[in-house]
Amino acid sequence: MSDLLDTLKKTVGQEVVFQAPEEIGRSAFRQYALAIGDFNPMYSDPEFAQSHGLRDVMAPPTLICDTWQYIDGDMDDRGGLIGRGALGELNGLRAGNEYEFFQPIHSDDVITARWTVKDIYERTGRSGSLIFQVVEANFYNQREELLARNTETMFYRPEA
Amino acid sequence: MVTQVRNSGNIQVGDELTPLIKEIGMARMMAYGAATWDFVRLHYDADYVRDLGFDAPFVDGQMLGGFLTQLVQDWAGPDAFLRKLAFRNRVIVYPGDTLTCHGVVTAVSAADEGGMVECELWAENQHGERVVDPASALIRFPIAAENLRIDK
Repeated sequence: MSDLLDTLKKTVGQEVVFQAPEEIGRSAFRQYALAIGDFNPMYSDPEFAQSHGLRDVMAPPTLICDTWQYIDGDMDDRGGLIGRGALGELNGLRAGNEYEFFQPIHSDDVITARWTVKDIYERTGRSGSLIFQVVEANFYNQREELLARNTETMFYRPEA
Repeated sequence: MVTQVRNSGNIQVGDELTPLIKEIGMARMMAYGAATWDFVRLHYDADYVRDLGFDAPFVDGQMLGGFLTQLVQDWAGPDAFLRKLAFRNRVIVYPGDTLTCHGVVTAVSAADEGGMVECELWAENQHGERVVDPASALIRFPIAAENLRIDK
């Protein structure tokens, strides 16, 4: 067993919990929408959102699954926010994501994120051995309502 | 921009989503990193990524999820709620690439929560390589189950 596989195996079951220090805020929605180039008025126009059954604008759905806004800390030399624990110590590449959305996220939601390492496994393909890490994140608001779930698969090369 | 309202009663298996084209540039990549509080140098620092063996800074794979969501939501309209989105990243996306996101309806069904539509999605670069494949979405439409017409 490679050292990396050994190291990663020990992370299975580890949970890291982050509590955002403030409400997510409407400007976060607009900034994400701008980065994607997605000017859907559901994310920016309260009257439009209300005319389609929401109490206010909603977050672009995938924002919560990719933002680190809820981590209240400094960054390291690689540009990663400090405090991600076992989730942020290694440079991996993304194999894929599965998102599940349970309700729209509004600007006054205060996010709690619970990340858990679910699985580590090794696969041998044409380019040699790869180690896969499956991590699940569940996102809640201040009323402990489940907002979204992100199941993320990253991969690592043992020789790296 | 949302221009139409759909309901799942007039959606059929085989319907194609209007393709969405995205030109990838460093400025948009930088904007995405800032918007997600993700400052990792992989996505903007050319010297840093060359030392790690990559040709150039590359797109955060989750940005593709944002593009696929736009593809789906623009087609489905503002009354539809995206319940699930899944995607596998296959080919690294670099600045200068032009991506085209595609989708096709694979299933229409009735559930307690509404009319449910499943789509198969994918994204190609300018070389015809599928950078995301497979991918899928599950969309909920606010329609009473008894009003849903399901084509067999």
